[in-house]
Amino acid sequence: MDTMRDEKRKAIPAIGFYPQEEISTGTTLIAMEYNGGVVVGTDSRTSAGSFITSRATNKITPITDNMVVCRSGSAADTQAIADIAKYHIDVYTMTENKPVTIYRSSQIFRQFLYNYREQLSASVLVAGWDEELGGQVYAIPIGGFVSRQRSTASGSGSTFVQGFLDSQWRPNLTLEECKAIVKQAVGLATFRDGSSGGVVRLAVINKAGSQFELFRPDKPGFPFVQTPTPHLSFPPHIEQVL
Amino acid sequence: MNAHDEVQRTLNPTCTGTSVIALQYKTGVVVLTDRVVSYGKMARYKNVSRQYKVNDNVLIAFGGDHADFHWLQNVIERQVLLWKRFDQDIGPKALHGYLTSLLYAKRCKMNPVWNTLVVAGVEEEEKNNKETSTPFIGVITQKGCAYQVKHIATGLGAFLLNQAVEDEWRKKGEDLSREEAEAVLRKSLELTLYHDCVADNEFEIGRVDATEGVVLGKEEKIIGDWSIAETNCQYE
Repeated sequence: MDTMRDEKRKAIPAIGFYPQEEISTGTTLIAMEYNGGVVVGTDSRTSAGSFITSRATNKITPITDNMVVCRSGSAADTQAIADIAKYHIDVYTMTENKPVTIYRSSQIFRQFLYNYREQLSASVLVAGWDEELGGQVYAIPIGGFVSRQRSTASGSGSTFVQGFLDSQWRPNLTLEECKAIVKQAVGLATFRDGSSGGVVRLAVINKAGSQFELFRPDKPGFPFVQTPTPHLSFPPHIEQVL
Repeated sequence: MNAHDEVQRTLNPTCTGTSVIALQYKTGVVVLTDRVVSYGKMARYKNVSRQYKVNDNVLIAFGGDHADFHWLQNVIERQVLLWKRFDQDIGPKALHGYLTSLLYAKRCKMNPVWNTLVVAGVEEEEKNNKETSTPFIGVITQKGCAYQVKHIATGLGAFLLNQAVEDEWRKKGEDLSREEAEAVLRKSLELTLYHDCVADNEFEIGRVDATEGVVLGKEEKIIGDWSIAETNCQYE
């Protein structure tokens, strides 16, 4: 399967086919439990190579009133999987006449992400709230391994903030503390990762349902990263401005 | 070519700079670059200038590998001193010609200087007569292809910005004032901010003016308009 993929990517000038960089949500996804639910935060950049194809994407996709999936990896793959899994979850909800638990939903995602693992490039976070277990976050990286997490990051920007999240985590966070940590983490990752950027989208999922928030760079509330004052760029004898 | 040569060649850029935007106006040239060093797609070092003042008539801005420009800056400094021995200040056309030959020669030896250079300056037509000086923008790609223009955007800016800058240029052409030219550059920068992964929102605008000489820019920041995010951005 892998070799077939590579062959398909050769250019065929005769019919005008030129392979382009796959459109991926090179991304920052952060999800964290607090005492009462979960908070998830994402950036909003979709890129194809160095080009930003969409600068205000919404990577938090609602599946039910009490559950969202955060998508990273190939944009097309994750959109298709989210649609298919949502359909299955909707059918179960209707036929059983009660909401599907978050754990079961993550297993439904796993059914597709694991069985088609060679054909897909998708890494998701399933986050939600249900009566049984309260707020839950399930991380499903590439390959389809499911694990429940208290605090996790996914996507290319996650590497820059793993340390930050590790240092900030403590049990029994309040909603405000959790939102501040998630927002700051997305801000820090966006600051360094070229594949992450744009606005910060936050979602809080608890007993009351899902509340979505938007933080724009041109409005107050956007996470601020303090940069140190610079040194000279060129040797000191060169005329330059600091 | 033996195996030892590989060690000395720039085969892949590592720490890179992105677009350079330059525009002529009535009495000089304005140049805009951002201030980030990208390590692949990571914004590794901030507050690094990509514009170098050669002398009072010439400013060079670069995109591409930083290490290669570091080396090139040294070479340019030595050329300037060489000209000074004959009591001459190197002009932008002369420097552009020299750098074209240099970059082409290195490319022929399969050891390119992995930079896109923009030589901006004011060319003195008559000695000590500022009235007749003409603005100059010369571009040199890493393969040594060189040309002169009235306005340019390099890097990903070449795809995104050249038309936008050209539209503004066609309105007033050479009669642009400095403030108008700078406004065009700032507007263009917004586009790279929206569509270039490795562009940064902190930038500097340097200028070469017939009367003022080279004035390097102070660091400025741009945020852009994100009202598009308020609309429904779900994919259904």
